[in-house]
Amino acid sequence: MADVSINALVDSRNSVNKWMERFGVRFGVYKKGVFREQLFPFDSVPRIISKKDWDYLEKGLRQRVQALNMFLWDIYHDKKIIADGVVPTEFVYASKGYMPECEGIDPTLKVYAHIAGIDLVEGKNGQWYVLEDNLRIPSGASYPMIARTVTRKVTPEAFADNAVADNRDYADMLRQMMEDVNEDRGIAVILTPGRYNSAFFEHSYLAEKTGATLAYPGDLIVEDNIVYYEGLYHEKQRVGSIYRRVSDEYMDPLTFEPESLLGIPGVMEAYKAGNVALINAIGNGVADDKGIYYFVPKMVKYYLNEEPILQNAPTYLPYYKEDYDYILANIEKLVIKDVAEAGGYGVVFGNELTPEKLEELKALIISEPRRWIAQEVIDFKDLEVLDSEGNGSMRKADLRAFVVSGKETRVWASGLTRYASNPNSFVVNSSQGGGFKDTWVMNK
Amino acid sequence: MKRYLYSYQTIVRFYVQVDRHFLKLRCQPSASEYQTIVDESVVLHPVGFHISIGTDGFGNRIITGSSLIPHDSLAYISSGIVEQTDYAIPDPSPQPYYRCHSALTEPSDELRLMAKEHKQAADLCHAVYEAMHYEPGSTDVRTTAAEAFAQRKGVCQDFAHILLSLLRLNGYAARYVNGLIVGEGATHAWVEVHDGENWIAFDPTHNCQVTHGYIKLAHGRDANDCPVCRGSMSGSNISQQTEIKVIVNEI
Amino acid sequence: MVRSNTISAMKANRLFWLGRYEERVYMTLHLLRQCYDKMIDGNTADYEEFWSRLDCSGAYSTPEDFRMGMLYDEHNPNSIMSEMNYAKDNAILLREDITSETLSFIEMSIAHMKACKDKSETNITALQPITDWGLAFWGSVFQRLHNQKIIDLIVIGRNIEYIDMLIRFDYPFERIRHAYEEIKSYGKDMTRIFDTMIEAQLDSLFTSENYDPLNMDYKNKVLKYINQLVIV
Repeated sequence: MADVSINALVDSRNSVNKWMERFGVRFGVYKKGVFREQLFPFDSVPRIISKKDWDYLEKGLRQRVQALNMFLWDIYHDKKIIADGVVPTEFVYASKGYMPECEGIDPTLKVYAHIAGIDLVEGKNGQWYVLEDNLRIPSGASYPMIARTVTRKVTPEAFADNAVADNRDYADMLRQMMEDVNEDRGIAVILTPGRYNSAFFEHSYLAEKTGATLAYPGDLIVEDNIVYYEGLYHEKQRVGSIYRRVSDEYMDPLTFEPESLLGIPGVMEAYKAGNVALINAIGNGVADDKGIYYFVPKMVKYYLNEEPILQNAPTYLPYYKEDYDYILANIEKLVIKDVAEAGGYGVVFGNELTPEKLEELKALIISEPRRWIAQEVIDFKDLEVLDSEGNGSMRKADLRAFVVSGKETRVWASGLTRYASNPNSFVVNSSQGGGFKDTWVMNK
Repeated sequence: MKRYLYSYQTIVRFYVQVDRHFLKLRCQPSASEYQTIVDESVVLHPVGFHISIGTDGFGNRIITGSSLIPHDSLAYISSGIVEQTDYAIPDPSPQPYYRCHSALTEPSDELRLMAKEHKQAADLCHAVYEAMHYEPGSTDVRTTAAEAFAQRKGVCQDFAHILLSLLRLNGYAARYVNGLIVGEGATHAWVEVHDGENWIAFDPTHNCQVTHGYIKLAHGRDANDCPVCRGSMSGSNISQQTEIKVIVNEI
Repeated sequence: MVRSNTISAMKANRLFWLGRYEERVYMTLHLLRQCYDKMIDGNTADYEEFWSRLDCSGAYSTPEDFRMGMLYDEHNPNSIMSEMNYAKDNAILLREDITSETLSFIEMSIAHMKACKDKSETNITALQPITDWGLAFWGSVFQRLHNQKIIDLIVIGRNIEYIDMLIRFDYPFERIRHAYEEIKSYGKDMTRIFDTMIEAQLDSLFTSENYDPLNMDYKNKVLKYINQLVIV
């Protein structure tokens, strides 16, 4: 980084954002019921991950995702982990993500989470922590993909010494995985809910880069338990794999939400018959539930008989008496998360609440202990962000690492580094403002 | 040992032509120790539907169909003969999810209170019957147990959901059953509860433990899991008129 | 991975309309340049007729309003801004078929239009990049796309729009004949793309003997038919 002056970075920030506008790099947000597309601000100071740190993360991520895939297979088949008392029954079966309709279904290659987005943070002490596993439809890979394509053009000197791992292989990883699970049954499609989905740019960009066909609701039909892409004159082309960006409950109106217009009527039967691969599998929500998160290190031990490499943030479950007492005694210094909520809205910091609100929260925890988890506040290592004049300020940031599983489990040497919209915010979810940075994984 | 002749018939008339019509039917009797199928047939109109048979995640028999050819009606009839013994279906390890609340059986505070007053399945069944007033049209297919209980009225589906909620609050594994009963009418709903060895059945609408005469079609966590028919078709605002006829008689 | 050349009905429709709107932007700008030229030193009657051909008579009360409105008014479906937006609405749903590169010319045009609108720029030379990128768009379509069906559908859309504009502005028949032949040639591999009844009608109306754009009945008839020729 020493070679790249601040001026060059500020210059490149504006120029890179200009290029991103040219390529239509956007994400959609709903504000007060109105859909708007906005650019995802890019900060040109990259997050740098040393080779040593990355080697550690890569091993840990592969191990974690392997264990999660084994857990999902187990839950929808033999349920040994429950019989052995490692995970309590109700944490699985009361979870909204658990789908009894998936009992006994055998996904190709036994893979459930083909694309996993694992959210990590780095503490001030240099220790990395996993904050969340996203195993349903994790988004965000397209942004660092296109950012690197652009930054290599705009500031080639920054990459000249070959020390930064090339991350432009994500489309190849995806394509290889889609081939692995397709087993030559037919074409590969990416199913998008349409342009009013917040990640529509990503759906179309990944389709372009992988060569998969982008399918919209209504383009796919099921006949005799086989999925077809239907052409202009009703010609039918068989589909072998569907990378679907539609959530579980909308995937098949004959099985789940009956009013859904986004899904493919009958796709569950085609899937169950082994005639099509769904990427990711249906029912994965049971493993990325905030309550199940607590048990992931235990899964690693249980299924792989290995010590977990990655650490969770210190987490307490009110379900256990000891944790329950600890939470109620220390609530003002903990982060409390609502297990059922997603998108950064169900997260409460104890130290930001008035005494009355704290009592209300305690009462909620007492009445529904299963609904909450509590975590210690991690002292993040903040990252520097430059404004358009080149003035720096420090922000909270996380890293979403992408792990792709087909015949093998591979970790993408990159990731999405998101930062908070203002210096005081701990929330880095892109739907609440903020921007992103390139993530440089060093080769040496 | 008793034998029943059953017939379940549906005719759906669409006011406009529909195409891209997809179906999932659970209109055939389930086979179990309680109920043996002696003979059966299913007839579907219009001819030309692509048909596949299978089972769903709950073990129910399903028929899926698709038709891309425009048509203005759908008709099917499922008929046959079943033989029944006493209503007890052995199951050494019931699926754990039948102990957990599902979307339509999520309890309210007043249901929680009521669950504390009774412990036995038969008592809970009786309590639901006593508390509830049967009133067609007072609820719809999306009404939850809590909502129906709050207004103290509903139909057989609501009675079953309330009983399921109470049973699960008391730690029972319990499931929703869709089926037909002796006489003429429509489909009926009741509840199966696991007694440690077997699934036995209670009908809160009629305040009784079920012995026989109830032709079981399908089960699930609640009514959402096992409707007789689910369909999806192209076109917006398709208005339709549905006619259902059920006849069951002891032979 | 087995790649697909199959195009769904929805995609075919979007490709067709993408071709139409791209052409409409180009032609509208071209015609506006002529109109603005007349407005410099001409009589009101000279350019009011022009407005009516663009279906904008009555929409604007002063020449100044007309200048701004035809460029940037998003409530006027015939403004350059609206037509660009319609082109984009189709194009962003076709990224993987037309490539990000082809799409980028539309994205840049929209960004440029917005910047010009913010400055209330009425000097039409400022919009030269829109014309240039429009031509780059077509260059990209012909040079970069490999699926012939995609090219066929966009080019058919372009020529339908082109003929529509030519007829409205009483262009000579030679131009129309050429565009109509191009439509036929791009549609030759798609058996059901044309409504054959309409096609037969147009075949007899589009001859040098019968071509008569000054006859309003004729004009309305061919405008109607040309807009109904393609089935997507």
